Amino acid sequence: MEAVIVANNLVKQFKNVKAVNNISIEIKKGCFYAIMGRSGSGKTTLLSLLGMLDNPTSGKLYVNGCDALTLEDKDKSKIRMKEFGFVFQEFHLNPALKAYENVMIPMHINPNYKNKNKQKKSIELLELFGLKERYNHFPSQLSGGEQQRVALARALANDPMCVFADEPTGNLDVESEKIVFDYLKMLSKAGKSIVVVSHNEIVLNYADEVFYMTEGNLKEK
Amino acid sequence: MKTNYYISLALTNLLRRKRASIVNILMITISLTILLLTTTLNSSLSKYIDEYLYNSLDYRTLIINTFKLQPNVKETIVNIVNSDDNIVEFNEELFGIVTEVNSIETLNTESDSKSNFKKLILKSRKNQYENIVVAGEFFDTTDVNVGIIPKKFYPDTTFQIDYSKEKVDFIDGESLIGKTITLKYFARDYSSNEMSIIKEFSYSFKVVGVYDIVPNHFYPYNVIIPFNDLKEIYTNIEQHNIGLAEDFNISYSVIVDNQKNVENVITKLNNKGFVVNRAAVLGPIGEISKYILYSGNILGLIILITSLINLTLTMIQSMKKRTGEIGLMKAIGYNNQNLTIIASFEAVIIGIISFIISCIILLGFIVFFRWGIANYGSMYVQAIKVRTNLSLILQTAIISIIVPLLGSIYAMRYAIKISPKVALSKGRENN
Repeated sequence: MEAVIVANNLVKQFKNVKAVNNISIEIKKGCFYAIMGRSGSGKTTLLSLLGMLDNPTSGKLYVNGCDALTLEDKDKSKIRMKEFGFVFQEFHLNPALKAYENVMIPMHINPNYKNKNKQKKSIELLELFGLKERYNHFPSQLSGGEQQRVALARALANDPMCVFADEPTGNLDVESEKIVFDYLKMLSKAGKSIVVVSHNEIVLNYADEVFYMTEGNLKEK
Repeated sequence: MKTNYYISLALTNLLRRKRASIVNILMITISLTILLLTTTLNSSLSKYIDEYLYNSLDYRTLIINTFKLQPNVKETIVNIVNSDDNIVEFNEELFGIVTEVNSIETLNTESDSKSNFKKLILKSRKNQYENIVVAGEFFDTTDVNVGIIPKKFYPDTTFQIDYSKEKVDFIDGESLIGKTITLKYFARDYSSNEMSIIKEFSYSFKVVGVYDIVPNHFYPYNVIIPFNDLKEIYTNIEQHNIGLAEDFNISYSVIVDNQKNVENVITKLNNKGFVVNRAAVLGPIGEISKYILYSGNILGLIILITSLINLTLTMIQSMKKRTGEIGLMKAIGYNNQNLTIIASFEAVIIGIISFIISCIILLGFIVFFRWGIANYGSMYVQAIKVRTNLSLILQTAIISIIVPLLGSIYAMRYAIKISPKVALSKGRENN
């Protein structure tokens, strides 16, 4: 399978601590990756580097063959907008916007969307995650699991090639955890690359490849 | 399309922090209203002063006092008058003379003569007065015993021009056209303390027309009669008066076409050694106008600066509270430009709302002032047209946009500088 993201010798150093220590990894199309490890092992930092949310101290990162670290901030934003989707433990939904409006947030800066299509597409995405009846609700009217599914729908708004999920089930109950991972698996089967950082063992049931991080070093299981 | 989104997002964000938004809008509104109001009042008063007071006939009339020893006085003045296109009229000047009303034909002056109808002032004819006649006709230079009186006639020299509505009952001067008014005047002994009367004279004139006192700030007791009639009155008095200094010779007056040219003409006459005075000078209204402008602008600016600081603090606070959201937006591809626009729209919306409210308040004040002037202002004050102008509104609109934008600069910088990863982790801490 073709590699959509290639990281070579990534290093992220904070003062005297190497949070990411010379890591090389390839993210292939349609694969589900799980990165596991204890708190402070550097897995979130690695996810930030792969998702271009932060710059490495050294190393190389290629996205679709393009040297991503040499790009201007504006172009990095463009790659994140078009190619990446993000899901976080805290959902980060705008409490003043309804579910479908939250899903529309990434669409507003995507020039490929026409205005009238945005709402339709966002409701379709919510339907995909079983929230058809809840599209008009505010986040405060949704359960934690439902909020995370809204966040998942938002991550897919611009049809990205890769979805990064940082502890996506950290705030969820067991039932909701399963639902979220089921959806992520469904997405990887649909051709999306999925990179999940989690300390939840349940992810092992879904991942195609599993990595463990210890003190900034990555080991494949 | 994107603009609609930015506007709706900005409105949503402002509604999320209703209290802070209301305080910001309120402060900017107060400062804008004070600025708009004071500049509007000042510009209205300035216009009143420039177009009404400064351009009144008396303000444009210059009195040239000459001395008996000055040689070729008249010739010198005539030369200046002939060489200056801005001087529209030149006359020998006879100062207004106070006379007592003896009788006004058809009016019951017997009972009123000691109360309402006391004194009036006679002024000599000038050609320019023709333009202020509103009914009847103006008389010629050769006519005798004729006069024009105010349309709002009140022959009492105790009448004062005031800001508040006149509490006197004016006589309709037009009703006296064709009637005769008889006056008495006196030669006095000015060397005595009581200025005792030496001789009494009588003068009658027929009212041939009425003039409007308001446009030129004339008094309702000013009556205009032929120069020769007034000259005769002067002669009668001077022949019998005792104890007046005789250093002054004849006085002359020139009328200038526009107040803008008055200073030039004064300079020209001064340069020839003449003592020149305006027939009228501006009262305290000029100072009042300046006071309104300065105090209003200072107060408005102080509040504007306070609101700028307040806005800066609340915008930063709001941005910090939304750090997680900013991190997410950055993560999903919003670039610095997008975030700047979002913050700017929030600021601009605060400014626009404040501006609209200020304009509505201003409109209310203008209506209120106009109502007050129409109902409680004197007939002279009613010439003040309280109105704002487009350039003033545009200037305030620009201020209302710039101030909130300045206030949001720090908030924008915060949103721009923070990396998505840091913003997301700070957002997590906030939660």
